[in-house]
Amino acid sequence: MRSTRHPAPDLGRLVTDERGVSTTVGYVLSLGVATLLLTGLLLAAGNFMADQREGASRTELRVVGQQLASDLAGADRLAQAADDGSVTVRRSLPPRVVGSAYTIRIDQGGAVTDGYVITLEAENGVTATARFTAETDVATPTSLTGGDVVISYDTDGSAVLEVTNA
Amino acid sequence: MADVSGRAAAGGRERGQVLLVGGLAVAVAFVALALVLNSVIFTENLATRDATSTLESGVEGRAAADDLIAGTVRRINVDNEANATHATLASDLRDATGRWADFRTRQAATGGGSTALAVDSAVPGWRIRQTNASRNFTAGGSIAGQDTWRLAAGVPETAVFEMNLSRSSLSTAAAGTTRAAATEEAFHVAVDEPGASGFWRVYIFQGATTQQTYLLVEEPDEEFQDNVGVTHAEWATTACGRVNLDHVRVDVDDALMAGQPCQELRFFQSLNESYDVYYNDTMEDVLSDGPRVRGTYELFVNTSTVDHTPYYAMADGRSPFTQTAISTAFATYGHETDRVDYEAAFESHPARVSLQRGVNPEFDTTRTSYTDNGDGSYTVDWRVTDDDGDLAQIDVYLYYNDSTTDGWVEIDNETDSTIGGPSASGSTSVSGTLVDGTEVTLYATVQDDNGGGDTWIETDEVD
Repeated sequence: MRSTRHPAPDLGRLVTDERGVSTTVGYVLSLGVATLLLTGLLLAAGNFMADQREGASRTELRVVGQQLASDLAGADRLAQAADDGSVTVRRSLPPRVVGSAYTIRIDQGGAVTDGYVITLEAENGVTATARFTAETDVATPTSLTGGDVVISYDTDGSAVLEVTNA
Repeated sequence: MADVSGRAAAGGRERGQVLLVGGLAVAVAFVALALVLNSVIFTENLATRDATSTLESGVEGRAAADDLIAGTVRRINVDNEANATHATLASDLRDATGRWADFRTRQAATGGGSTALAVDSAVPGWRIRQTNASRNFTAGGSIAGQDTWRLAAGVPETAVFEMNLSRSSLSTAAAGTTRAAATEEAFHVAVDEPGASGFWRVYIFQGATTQQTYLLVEEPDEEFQDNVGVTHAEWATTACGRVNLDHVRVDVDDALMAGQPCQELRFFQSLNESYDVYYNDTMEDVLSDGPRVRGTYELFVNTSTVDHTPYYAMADGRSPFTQTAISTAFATYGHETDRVDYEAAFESHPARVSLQRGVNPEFDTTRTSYTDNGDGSYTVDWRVTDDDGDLAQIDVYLYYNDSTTDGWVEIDNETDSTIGGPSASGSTSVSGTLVDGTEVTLYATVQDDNGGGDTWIETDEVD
């Protein structure tokens, strides 16, 4: 009986062996997998970007609000220290936060006496609030936009703290 | 069909264009993310900056200006031995504040800001004083010896009214006597307030057996003499004072007696404008029996004129006398930086600080303390100073609170009369048999040769 010996596979010939290979299928597979991969990456990056933008907007609005609140509280202390006189405080706020314009609104409120609330809202819908107290009356409601603001007080005038855009 | 496998073309060099495009898109996303994070970094940097320092410096500057003016006016008043005119005192005040303002302006300029301080006006006042501790409280001047007399009329606002009384000179109330009897012939300060139905009367006397000093206030619609039913037990336990001291200091405007709060004196802080102040019954009915009170006093009035009839000229060297002073000062403080423009007009009230400070001794409260030795004894480490260098005596007392009478009872005292000069320090121990849980008060007084004094008080619980 003759023994059958299978020859060792010739790996070099596999590369050039095109039996069972479809160029179209290969093309579709390559493109499809690459597309899926890239789509997933871009989606994830996009979502990540959106979250970061929102977080950055909120953080920046919060900081702007706190700065304005501290300036108002400081202006209140200056006003209270004077029997008569005037106070002018200037603050340069960023005109936009993460590329979005924003509005500032000051209202009475809060759980404490003489409490006020500053509400900041960006065009992208992100909002933030800051609170402060002032013994001196603050003109409310007040609406502003980002940028340079001026806090003014004069006993010869209205004798309230007024906040306006410069 | 096009061969996109890339194996045949150009030896296989054209590969991965899709991946290249995808990589580019991801890189763009990272760049955009960097821009966003840059905004966050900027925001965080803004948040960590000291945002309110320029505002706080305005508040601090305003407070410093007030302290300067208050201190300068007090010093001008205290040093006014020449009894200069009010105009001269105001000029001195402006000179002093002008020098300070120049200094602050130069200091502020180093930080890019500017400050200004100007005294707008100095309100004239008068110090009505008796500095002879051995003298009685009768009038002087052209009505010398009158035992009931008016110190001041039309007082708009009293800034300081202090008396240092010699306890031994006070009239005595016998043990067990009623309030009516105790006050019938006692020295008292009378205040005629506009609109009131009568006088406020502040009676000060001593107990014959307890040798404690008592202070009682009769309200305008009250008459102690018409209400003989108030027993000794009722008034003696509620009166102000009840301390056994050789000299008793009464701060009428601060509502303090011997350093302790005296609720009954608080009426003085809310009197209607334009009231009159009198001393009544300063001498016994039988003049040969002597005075009912001796000591020093000072009444500061913020009026431009006073009736000098009952007073000697200061230059005569006799008490009581009047002395010019500045009552209050109106000033304007300005502060400017790149962010703040601030102008504040304010009134400085220097006379609310006791004008006798500077000639009266004081405890150095930072270097005066006590130690509980644990065996019923306490050691008081004290340091005292006196600007005019005439320290005389220091007394340390130990009191305990008698729960049955709710009164303070002295159980030990020590006196050191060897002190002198402008400062002194030492340790004094006092002791007694004390039960755990007992409230004790350590009380120290320092006196000078003028009868002026200061007190130091601490309370403790025995454990």
